[in-house]
Amino acid sequence: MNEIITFFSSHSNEILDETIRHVWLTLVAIFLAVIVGVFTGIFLTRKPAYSGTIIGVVNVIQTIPSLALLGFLLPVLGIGVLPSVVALFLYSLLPIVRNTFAGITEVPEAVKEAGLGMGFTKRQLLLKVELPLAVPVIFAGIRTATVVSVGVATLCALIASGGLGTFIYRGIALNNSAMILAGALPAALLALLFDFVLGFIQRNIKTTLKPVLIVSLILMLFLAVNQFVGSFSKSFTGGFQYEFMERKDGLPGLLETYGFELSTVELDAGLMYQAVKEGRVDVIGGYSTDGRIDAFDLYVLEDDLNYFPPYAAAVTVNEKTLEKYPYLEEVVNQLSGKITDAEMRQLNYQVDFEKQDVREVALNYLKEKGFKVEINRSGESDIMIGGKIFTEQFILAEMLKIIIENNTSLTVETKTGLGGTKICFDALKAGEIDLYVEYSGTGFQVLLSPEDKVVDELIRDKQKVYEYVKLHSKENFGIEWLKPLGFNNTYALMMTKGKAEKLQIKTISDLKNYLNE
Amino acid sequence: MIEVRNLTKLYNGKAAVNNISFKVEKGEMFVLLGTSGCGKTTTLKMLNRLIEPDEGTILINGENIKSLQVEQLRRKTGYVIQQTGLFPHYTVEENIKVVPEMLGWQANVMEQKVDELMDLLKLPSEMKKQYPDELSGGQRQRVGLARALAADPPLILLDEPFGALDPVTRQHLQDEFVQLENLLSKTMVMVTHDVGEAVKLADRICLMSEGEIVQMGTAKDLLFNPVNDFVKSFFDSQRFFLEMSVIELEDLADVFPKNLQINGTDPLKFISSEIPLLHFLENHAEKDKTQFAVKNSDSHILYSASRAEILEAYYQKFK
Repeated sequence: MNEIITFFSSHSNEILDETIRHVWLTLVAIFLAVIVGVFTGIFLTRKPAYSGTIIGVVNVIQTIPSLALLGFLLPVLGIGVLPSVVALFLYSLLPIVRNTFAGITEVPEAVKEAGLGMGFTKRQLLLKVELPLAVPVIFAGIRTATVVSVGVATLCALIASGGLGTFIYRGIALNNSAMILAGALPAALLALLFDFVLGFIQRNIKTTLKPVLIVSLILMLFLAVNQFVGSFSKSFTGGFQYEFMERKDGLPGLLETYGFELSTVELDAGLMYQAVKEGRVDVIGGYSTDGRIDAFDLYVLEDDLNYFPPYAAAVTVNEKTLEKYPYLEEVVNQLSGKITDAEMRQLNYQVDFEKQDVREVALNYLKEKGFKVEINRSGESDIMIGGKIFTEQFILAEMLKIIIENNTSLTVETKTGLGGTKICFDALKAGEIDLYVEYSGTGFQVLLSPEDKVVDELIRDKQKVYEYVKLHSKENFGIEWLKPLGFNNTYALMMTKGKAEKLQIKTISDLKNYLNE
Repeated sequence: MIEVRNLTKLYNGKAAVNNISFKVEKGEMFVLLGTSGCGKTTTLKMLNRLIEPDEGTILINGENIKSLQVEQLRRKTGYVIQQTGLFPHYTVEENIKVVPEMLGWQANVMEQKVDELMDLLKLPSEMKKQYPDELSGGQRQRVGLARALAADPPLILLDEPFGALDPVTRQHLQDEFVQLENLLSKTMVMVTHDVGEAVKLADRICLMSEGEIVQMGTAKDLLFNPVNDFVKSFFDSQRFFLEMSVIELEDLADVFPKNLQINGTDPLKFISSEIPLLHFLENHAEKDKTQFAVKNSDSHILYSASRAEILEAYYQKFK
């Protein structure tokens, strides 16, 4: 509780800013959706033949998962406020269109007929009878749309439009509950507030409708101008995940080490690769073995100052397992130094984008390298191999199974998808799994967490980090680190190949020179 | 006032109204009577173009209503439907003002009209600010009537105006309706399926069946000179009551001897020959020995007889 209060008071300005942004996004989208939705609803009551089709289409839009919709919009509208408003707008349409249509259709026939019989024109009937009587239903739709929008707008933080989602996703990435609440709490309050205000407008519609419309229009104009002015200040932009932007060993440290400034936006990991591919941002921070690097034709900038900590992949084994099967070390070490960054990337690509079977990919790779691969045992297992929950780990676990089964008489079972580092490592210590692939940097910082002094001294040296981890893991936990597999799955800056070549950027220092020119 | 020529309306190829023609005179109350589905409501709605006919013409004051702008036509034509036709989001006052407002009347003129009509229709003035769902069925119907009368239209169309009311309220409102002075000069066309209501209110009844006119005439014509069994049977369920309510004392004059005989011992009372038989019988006790001297509008005494003799005369002449 104290933590939360501290966070709120120390970040109050930021929270206020993001709340205002959040309100903006939602209001603009809702305003547009009300105008378009109400008119569409009215149109449908005049041409009911179209109602099935149009409401169907709007319905389908509603069923598209939010993140997928943002993904669809990215190639067309890019990142930032515009696609966010469009996405929120699209989500808000359904309840408004449907309720307007239903509200007007449900006005009793006798009342409509009385109106026409009195001499109302169709237009007068709509404005004086049908719409006023449909107001409660239409407003119910608008209120639903608004509350939904406030929620969905948190997602828009994933495409660099800001808003309260910023805190939520950063908080999740950093496992910081106070930060998550800093986003979630104001968002919930906003939803309640909007609902209350709309209720007030509904009850006093005669007096409030005009002022509300005028104020909304002014707000819209203001935003349009804002966007317009903003579009001139397009510069070289980096798109990064929350965690990377927030962590000291992430972007802030990078900029300090290399000595340059970069305008940045915060993006979801998945959308980030797409954004750089589409040219919406110029550089992103990703993982060096990600399959998308090949899929999207990206170029990984060389970290010439060795800023990023080394994350050399190596097999970790429980020493009890090694005591039982001493020959295991030699067998597994056959793989050491064999897999390059590019190869790992290619394997990830084959699974993620060519949709090849994980075992097939592992088999083919090992066959090519001249390993024996024929044996595949099942049944009661002697060795249990673990793995974290991402593609690379699935492939590596499969490779280890093939190598061990083809060079020993042991039966191996894989147990991949074990969530994060902590789960895997705890399982290894407890002997529930016998081995899995870990990364030296992770072992160093997450598992051993040495004092800052030690970190500063060792962190830039790949060999020293590995040796430190190997020594202390054995001493502290009884875990043996085998020889590194060869590749390094670390943070890396990447650009499209085309842009990198055009700007002649090969290293991060090149980027710095380019930006400081 | 209204002339309907060869009017036809088709629904899915079937004639809801089939080639009908009639005329309504100025100041007349013309009732379209029939069972549901006979085409009476369709006919009424064609008069203010809520439904457009497939064939035929309608002239109002010699003008083809097709040539008029439809909203103008409707604003000059009062329209009363069942109580559900009030605008639920308008107060009583706002409901009554609908047409005058469209016609651009001045505010104070409208105020005055509202007060006048509410007074006329016995609606308390504190009801002005109330909404229709706060009123009783009868009150709502009064408001509906006031709304139709607000702009003082020469023609009023009524679609089952008393249909949704309970029998007591209906009776009461019908009685008042007959006596409303504002309505005396109006031409009215009313739709109903209630024969009693038709007989009570109509100057002429137009009995319809399956989209066609079966018989058109006064209530007496239809009761006593039905053109076929359908017309006859249509009134049979309430025949006695209906006949008594249309027969006036005058109609029995030919049963009695022309030369006046006044029995000197019984009390004598003068009575108008235009009183319906039903009222007469209701208002005088069976044992009443009074001799009634029936005199017409010229103050000629047509005959004199006791209550029993008059009832006897009815049986003699009409049964």
